[in-house]
Amino acid sequence: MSRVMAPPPTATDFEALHRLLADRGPDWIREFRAGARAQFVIQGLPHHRMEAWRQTHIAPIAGGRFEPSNTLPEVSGGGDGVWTGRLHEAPEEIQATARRRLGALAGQEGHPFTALNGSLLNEVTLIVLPQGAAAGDLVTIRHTAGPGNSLNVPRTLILAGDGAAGSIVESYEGPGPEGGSFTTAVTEIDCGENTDLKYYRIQREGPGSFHIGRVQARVGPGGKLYTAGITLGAALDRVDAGVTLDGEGASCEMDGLFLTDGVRHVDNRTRIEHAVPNCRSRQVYKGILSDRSTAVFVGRVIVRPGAQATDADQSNPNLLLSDDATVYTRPQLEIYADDVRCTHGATVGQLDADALFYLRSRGIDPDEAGRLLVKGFAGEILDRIEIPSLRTQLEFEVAGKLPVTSGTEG
Amino acid sequence: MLSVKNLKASIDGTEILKGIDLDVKAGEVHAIMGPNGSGKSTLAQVIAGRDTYEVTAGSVTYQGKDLLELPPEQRAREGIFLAFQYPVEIPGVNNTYFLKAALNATRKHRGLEELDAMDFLALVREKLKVIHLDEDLLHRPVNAGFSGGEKKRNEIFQMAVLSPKLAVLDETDSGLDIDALRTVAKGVNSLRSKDNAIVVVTHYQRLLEYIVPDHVHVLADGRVVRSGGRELALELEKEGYSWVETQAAGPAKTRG
Ligand SMILES: Nc1ncnc2c1ncn2[C@@H]1O[C@H](COP(=O)(O)OP(=O)(O)OP(=O)(O)O)[C@@H](O)[C@H]1O
Ligand SMILES: [Mg+2]
Repeated sequence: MSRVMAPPPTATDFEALHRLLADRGPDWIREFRAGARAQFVIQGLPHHRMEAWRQTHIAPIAGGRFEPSNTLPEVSGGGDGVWTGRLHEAPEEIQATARRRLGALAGQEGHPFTALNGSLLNEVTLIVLPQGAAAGDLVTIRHTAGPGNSLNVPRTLILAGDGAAGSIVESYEGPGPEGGSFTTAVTEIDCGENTDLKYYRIQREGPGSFHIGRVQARVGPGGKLYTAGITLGAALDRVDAGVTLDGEGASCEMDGLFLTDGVRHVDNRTRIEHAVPNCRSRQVYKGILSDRSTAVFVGRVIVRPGAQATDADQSNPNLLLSDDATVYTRPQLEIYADDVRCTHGATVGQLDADALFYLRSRGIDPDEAGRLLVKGFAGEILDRIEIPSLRTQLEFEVAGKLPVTSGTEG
Repeated sequence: MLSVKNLKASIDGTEILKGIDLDVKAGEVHAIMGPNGSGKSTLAQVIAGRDTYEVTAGSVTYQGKDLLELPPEQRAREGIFLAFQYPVEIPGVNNTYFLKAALNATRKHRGLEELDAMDFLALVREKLKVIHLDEDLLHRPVNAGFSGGEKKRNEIFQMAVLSPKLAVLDETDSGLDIDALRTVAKGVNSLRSKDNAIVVVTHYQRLLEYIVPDHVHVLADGRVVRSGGRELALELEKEGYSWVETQAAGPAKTRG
């Protein structure tokens, strides 16, 4: 028996929404939806008795009534030879490749929301950096959740051919302050040999929205992937971000920054798989928590048998600006090879009293001193963003979210 | 300018300062010497307003104001500057940004107009020349990854930019090479005027050859056990502090 068969009358009937789409679009997409729907029926929505969902309660999603939204993402930028846009508008040969790759990375098992996304799949945003593509204009993909209690199922596929380089910003915005939208987003990133890709994911949805995201990437031999996951909005946010280092010499750097306030909840799950020898991964996820907000970071690193000379670092420093905020942080290392260097560390701390005093002893206001320190804490992540306009914009947004009276001593 | 009377301060219930008296007049340079752990930094930090120390008795008056009433930022704006023995590293906070915020906070307090980026840069360039600080350090986070000597120079550079009325230098000479020492001394001496006062905490007579003090005090076990002229520093250099142990137990013997 499945949990989705009989939703409470006030909840969203995802099954009915799937049926509404059943005869829309070409065969392949209908088959894709049917396959995903089967997975979703088996798994159902997760509940907090499941290990992976113990810290994140999705009751507001399970019990909410969401109406499908038809807003389309805005895609721009790219440069020579780069294909960006909606999958069904791509030239046939590109479409053929994309169809084969869609769903190949973001497996649905153990990921009910990925299955849900697939079962309601409608539009796919496609970015193709052809073989050898030089880093051209920044590609931006902007998803705006529909107004009110909208249901949004953005899906993105990024394909980087051998030797391609580029930067992509994918952002999730809307609805306004009154909106209580639900977004279940999936992005797959396939990087070939010797690629050099930078992927920035920014979630700045309205304060009443629910955001469940999935990012799954693969990096081929000698490829480099940098990702930055910046979480600024939503009442509830959960993102599962995975990278498989799939060819010797592949590397990934994953940066994360999350700001929580009020009673917001942010849950970041990373999963890095070292499938072959001689790969390097580095993760730095930083959290800034205030008020009664809560955050979760679970960083999983898997080193497959034979993946010798693996080099993996992970850190999760958290700054608690209130006694009532809580953070749950846990590394999960699964190491099946012996020649491995693997480090991890998590810290939970308050503003550094010595630093606060130092700033104040120079005449700086305690509030301003606190803000400077928090900005400095976030700066380690933001300074690594290589796109000046994006960095400036994020610095501005982060500064705007910082609590005002963080620096006052007792 | 600064008058410390019977100052007692403790941390976590342990009394560190056990009744300090110190009188610093405008135009004067005072040196404070004394063995490790005698309370020199504690005194400096209490003057700057560090609230981890609890002042249990006595008073500190600065330009007629009760200094202990003021929060640290207010003291700084009133013209007090502490060069830290251990300058704090602040990753992610840009040195120039920090210094500009500090200077403008003080200027605002004094009813002066805030400096814009251009004027600030001009001031910074002028002071850089005196302190011989590598301009690159300005673009880095405050003290982060600076060498020991660079941190000390940065303290003096900040002092030069903020132009305080009372500067307290806590072992700014420690760890400096001889050229850096001269540079730091030059920076300090350029602050000397009939309206300003300087208190230098040091272990070495060497610094006092460059920054000639009017008064020298010896601190031991939280008390001033001796005060004198600059010759006292020479005497200490020769004889060390072995003599203080007998004196520290007794009442403070102050002169000058
Ligand atoms: N948090 C603390 N708890 C207990 N004792 C402390 C604490 N902080 C400082 N002290 C003690 O206070 C005393 C004075 O320290 P202070 O740093 O003022 O000495 P100092 O004269 O500056 O020494 P130095 O020449 O080594 O710099 C020392 O014995 C030190 O151990
Ligand atoms: Mg000291």
